[in-house]
Amino acid sequence: MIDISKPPRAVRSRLDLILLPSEKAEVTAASDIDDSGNFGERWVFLTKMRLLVLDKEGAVSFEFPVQKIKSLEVREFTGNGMLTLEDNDGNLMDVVRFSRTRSKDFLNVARHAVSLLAANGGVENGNGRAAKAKVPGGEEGPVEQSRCPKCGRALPPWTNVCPACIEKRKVFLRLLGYVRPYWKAAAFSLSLTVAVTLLSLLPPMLLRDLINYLTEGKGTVVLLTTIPISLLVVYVASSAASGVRTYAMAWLGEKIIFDIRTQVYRYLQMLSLSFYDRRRTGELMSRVTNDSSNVRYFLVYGSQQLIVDVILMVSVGILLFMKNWSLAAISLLPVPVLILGTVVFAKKIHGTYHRIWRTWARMNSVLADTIPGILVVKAFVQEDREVDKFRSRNVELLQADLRSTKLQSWFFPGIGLLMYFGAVFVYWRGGHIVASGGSLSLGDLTLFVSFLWMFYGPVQRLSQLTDQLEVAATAAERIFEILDSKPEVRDTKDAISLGEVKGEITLGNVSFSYNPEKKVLDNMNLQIKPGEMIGLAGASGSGKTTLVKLISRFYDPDEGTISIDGVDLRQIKQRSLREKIGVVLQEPFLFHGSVAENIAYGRPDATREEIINAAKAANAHEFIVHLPEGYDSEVGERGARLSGGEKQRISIARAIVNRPSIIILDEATSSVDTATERMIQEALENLIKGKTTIAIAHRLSTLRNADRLVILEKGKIAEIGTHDELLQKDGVYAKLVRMQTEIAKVRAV
Amino acid sequence: MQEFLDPAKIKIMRDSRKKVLLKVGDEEKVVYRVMRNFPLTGPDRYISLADEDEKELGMIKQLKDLDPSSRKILEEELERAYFVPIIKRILAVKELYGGVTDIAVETDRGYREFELRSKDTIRFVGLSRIMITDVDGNRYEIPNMGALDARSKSLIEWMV
Repeated sequence: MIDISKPPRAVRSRLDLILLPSEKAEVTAASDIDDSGNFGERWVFLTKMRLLVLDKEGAVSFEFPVQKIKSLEVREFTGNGMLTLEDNDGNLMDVVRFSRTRSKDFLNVARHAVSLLAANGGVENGNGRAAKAKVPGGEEGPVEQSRCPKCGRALPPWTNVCPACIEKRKVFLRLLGYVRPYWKAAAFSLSLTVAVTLLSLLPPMLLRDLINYLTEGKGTVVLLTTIPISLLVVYVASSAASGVRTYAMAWLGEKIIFDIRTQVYRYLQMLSLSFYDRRRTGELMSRVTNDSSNVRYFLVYGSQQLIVDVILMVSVGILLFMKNWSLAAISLLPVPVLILGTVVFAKKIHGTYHRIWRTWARMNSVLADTIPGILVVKAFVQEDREVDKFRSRNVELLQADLRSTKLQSWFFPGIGLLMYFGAVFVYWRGGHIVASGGSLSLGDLTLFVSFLWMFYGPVQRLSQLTDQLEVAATAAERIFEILDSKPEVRDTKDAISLGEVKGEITLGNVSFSYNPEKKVLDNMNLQIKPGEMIGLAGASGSGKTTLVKLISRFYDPDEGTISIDGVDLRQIKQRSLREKIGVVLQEPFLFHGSVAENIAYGRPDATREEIINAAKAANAHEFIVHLPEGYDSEVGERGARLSGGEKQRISIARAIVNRPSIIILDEATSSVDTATERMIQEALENLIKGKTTIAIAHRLSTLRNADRLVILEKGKIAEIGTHDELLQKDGVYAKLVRMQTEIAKVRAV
Repeated sequence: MQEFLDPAKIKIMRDSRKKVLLKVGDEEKVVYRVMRNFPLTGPDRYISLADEDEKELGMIKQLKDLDPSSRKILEEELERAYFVPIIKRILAVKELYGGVTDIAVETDRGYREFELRSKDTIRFVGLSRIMITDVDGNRYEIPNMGALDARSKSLIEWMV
């Protein structure tokens, strides 16, 4: 990575020589491709006087006075881009070439040049085309983040939490905070855990005593009875305790994750729409399901294992060294290899698993393509080819599977062998000590070896711990990210509830943008009278939908104010505001549940009569009663198959039940055929009677009832007036109408 | 229907201001963008020419049918428009948690380090040709995986 704030010394010193005392670099950018098209370095500086390009050694490779620049353009190509310049005489020049990694910096240069040229007498250039910078990609909507804003590293595609930037300690401490309400249960299960682990140390000790008695006659015959009995007691106790412990720990984990899941979902519902704009739906859903289950896995199983392993390793380690430190030292010999081997293996096996997963996915995609598309396959007689395709994917899978099996069949015996080495060393050294009548008895030796096994296991498991912790930490962090988001649209403390609403809407100098590069609404002024119907029209992207979203206060304007009956929206409780606004969207969204439940969604306490009346007004009653289960019919995948028009009428009934004072229709009839449109039009007329209405429509004919039409163009109001007035004016609207009549003619043919 | 440009009747030129011009008969049009229709499978065939509004002016079926000077200009323009270094050696691969991978390579355009967001951006074209797209949308190509040295091969094999 090139750090543009730190040009190399040669470049800096050269720059100091070139620039006049009054001159300074306004913008800096670094490219990573040189003039010959190889990877290299070029430094670009824009001052108030000139555009300057230096190579890594500080030699000037391009220089041009700002005064003579007509336009600067960033051109994006495959795998690279170019900054080009056109001078006042129309000559084209390549300034510098760069990979896409650096595009952003050069867009910045071009953008900066716009303001610089304007300030620098850009008007003299004659035509208004000062510097221009083309921003590639989608114009509206959120930009997907591919790099971590903090460290600049690439982000995995399924997250925007940077795995490298997480402060793991902090995350785990916070996770621990969730244990607090259950601290008693936690303490209980922790002490049980310690007890179970320590109990597991007893049987080898008892066995040692037994062997010592049998070989050396130490102790009394009673031992022959008491030891088996004690063993029995220990085993029973430890089994019972371990059962209780497993349940207690799992209970704790489940409780905590239950709390987290509920909290996350509540937060998701509270957050403003802008939060959803920046994230994909699937990703958000996975936070509630996948991430919380990853955290759960760690809380329920991972943390238990971790505690057990640590206790076991430490206590057994201490016992080993207390028993005989030289033997213990010998038995530690394989440990470094054990740790290293496990870490390397984990990496490798992770690779093979990934490979298997990828080949699986490839095979699945063949299935997902051909089984639902079987009609197409057969129609084009491609059965044999599809079979071949599947076979080759299947072969890939077989190879990947075998590869992973091979690795595992190498590793596990290998690791086992390593541990046997440790045991053999101990037998060899220990045998000598026992035989020479040293400080070790045969029982001690057996104990030592048993402990050794108990020591190697945890060591091996703990060396894989970091991976597990990382999975859990990332998942937890993604959850915390939601919990840490603040709703951007918030109620003020002294926000009021609306009473009766007349429905006067005023927009004063309203500007709004989703991202700073492009204003969606630009200084808009509009006064809507109570009960008036406004038709909003304009090309897509002209800001129609954004405008109605602002009126519902899903977003706050960047500048200016919107008010209803003279009250600024920001002074009104969001709940109260939205209760007064009825919305009918292009794609009616119905929830799982009965027709009646869907109609009463906004007001669950609506009576059956209200529901029926609303359905009647929405022209929906007729078809609903004919459903086998009437108003109790289920809507959705498993329920009644409703047509688009039927769903739309239910959603209109839903709006009617809510008794709104202001109605917003966003392309409410654009996805249905003409006959259905008439039914819906009638329903809509019942809905909007006497209420302030804002209707968006592409089909201009649906706006003929509007009192006034507002035509938007690039975030500004281009024209306002009645249908006739605007036709007479022969402006944007007249043009749109003409275009649509032409299309209608073509359709008629 | 868009006709193919007749190689015998057109001429590609660069005017004194370095703009690329397409001359059909007596008519001259400014060519703003040159695009391959099949960048991977047929880089020298089906070349689209577009004007400043990104509207297609016409298509050339085969570069080699053009007269040498026209052809040279288009090849220069294509060289600018497609920057896809060929990977000669893979020097290091470092996978971080989450599938993000750092790769250091030696290409025909020099040494380069880049990052992948996931291994899914490595794409096989045919059996042994590999196209890689990094986090910023830069492209890299391995024309034949089998022709790589053993170490590079084993490094890439872990990723695909």
